[in-house]
Amino acid sequence: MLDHQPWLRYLQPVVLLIVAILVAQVVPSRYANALVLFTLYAYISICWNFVGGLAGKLSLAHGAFFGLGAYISAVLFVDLGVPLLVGGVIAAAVVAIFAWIMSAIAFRRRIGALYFALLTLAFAYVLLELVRQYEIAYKLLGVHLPLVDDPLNLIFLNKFNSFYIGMVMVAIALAVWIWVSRHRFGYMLAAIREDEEAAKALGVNVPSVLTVTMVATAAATSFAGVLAAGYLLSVEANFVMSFEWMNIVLAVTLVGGLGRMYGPVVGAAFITIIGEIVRSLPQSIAAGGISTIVYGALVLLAATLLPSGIVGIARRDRELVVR
Amino acid sequence: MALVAEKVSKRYSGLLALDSVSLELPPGRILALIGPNGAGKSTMFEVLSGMRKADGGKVVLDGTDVTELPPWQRCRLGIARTFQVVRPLAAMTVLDNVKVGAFVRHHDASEAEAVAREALEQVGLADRASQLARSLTLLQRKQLEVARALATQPRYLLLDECFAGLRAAEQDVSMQLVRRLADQGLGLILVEHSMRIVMRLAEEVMVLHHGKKLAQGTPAQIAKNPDVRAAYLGARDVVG
Repeated sequence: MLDHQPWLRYLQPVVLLIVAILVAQVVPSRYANALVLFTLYAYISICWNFVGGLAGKLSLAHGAFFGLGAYISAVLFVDLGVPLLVGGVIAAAVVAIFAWIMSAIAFRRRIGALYFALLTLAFAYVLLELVRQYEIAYKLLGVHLPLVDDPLNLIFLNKFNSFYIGMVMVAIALAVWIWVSRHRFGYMLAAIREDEEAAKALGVNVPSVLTVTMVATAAATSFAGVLAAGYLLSVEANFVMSFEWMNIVLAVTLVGGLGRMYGPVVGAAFITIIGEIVRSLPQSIAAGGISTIVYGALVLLAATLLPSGIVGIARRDRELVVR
Repeated sequence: MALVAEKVSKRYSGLLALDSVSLELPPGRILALIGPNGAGKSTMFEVLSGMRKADGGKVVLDGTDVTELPPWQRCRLGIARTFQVVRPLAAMTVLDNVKVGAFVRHHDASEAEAVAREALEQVGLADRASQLARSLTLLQRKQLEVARALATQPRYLLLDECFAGLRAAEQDVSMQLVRRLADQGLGLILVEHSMRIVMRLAEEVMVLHHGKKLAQGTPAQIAKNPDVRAAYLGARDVVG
């Protein structure tokens, strides 16, 4: 039935959104933080999945795009009174420019996978250092947003509202995924992933398709930062720009299912639960980056035992593109 | 109207793979490119399709100089190719492989699917449409190469040894397809080792040797050419 009525697929994100909202009604408020983290993980990972899963390019810069979105929008809001959403658009534009520069360097000529990963990693650290230097110069204690109920700036006294917004973003990202993976652009991305030379011979403008994907997903990722800024209220370089976010995105996508539509959602749920368990451990064990070790171990396990992720268990027959 | 190479040269770190070779392929014609291994046949394909840039000379497509254009643009202008070493998009289905080609001219997904299914029908892979490309046999992968190239709806098609490894009966089917495509107005260049196929299919044969054009003519003329016999066919039974 679904194949005859393709638009029905677009109901899936809507249903997911409704279910999530209903579930949130019965979740104790102490788990609101976990729910928000879940939406952030899922949303960023869906964005990253276009690059890492569909196009097969290992970007290590998307964590920094998220952090930059949070930091720029928070600074503009606190220092210049720019509404958070407007600041978010500005942040997205800045992030898009960085992604474009990265793409111009990387995709102009055919470069190896390792080179691309290292280039994006270097960019991520350059951006972190830039923000850190700015913080040392002007914002020594971080950027602090006022704790007042201010829905237009995504600041809510009821933390569940951040979760709802996050779920809407997840649903939109999933809808975009459905659209892309069923249309020309998605096929071009998958062809690039499978074989760049063959893709070129089949009329795919490899550099421009990859550049569009990097720039669009970078800008989209930065919006998660805006949501995080309004939610966290206290935005510090070392936290929002931390490479930990990138680690989580990799763990989420690989555990959930690389290149699969629901991979990031399932992976984010899994990683969030693991994160909560780690957090609930006694301080003596939980301290000192144990979460990073756990995420790393999960990636190793996923890579060796579940190459198609959790989603792949259910749908082993269906490969990456499409659907 | 033709696909033209004008005095094309290509050098690979010291080795002159193509030395000022010219060819002209009008629509509806079948040109066979033959020569011993390393003669420059595949290099000619690389240069015509734009996968590699020529060091000298020009490639002209129906009057447009495409020498500086990347392969994807040449594909959109009407040059399609297959790869000698097949390049299936392994994790995608056969149909999706061909759809990638069809999307060149049809941005609408269902239109592209119709074009892709037709191309699969033409090469005889229609019943494999929903299989993953990695599950195909080598023979089927070669058919997939052709289907994908056809789905881009080219005006000129470069077939790189797409008959190799086929049994005689299968070769006949493929030859019929090539003949039919030429009748539809497609210009075709075949790189081929089997003289049986070259003699029966090609209207014109070009012999390359050490990157130079050694001879050009009808299959009958080439078969009689003493230089060609000496350089390439010497030990072989020409008529196959």
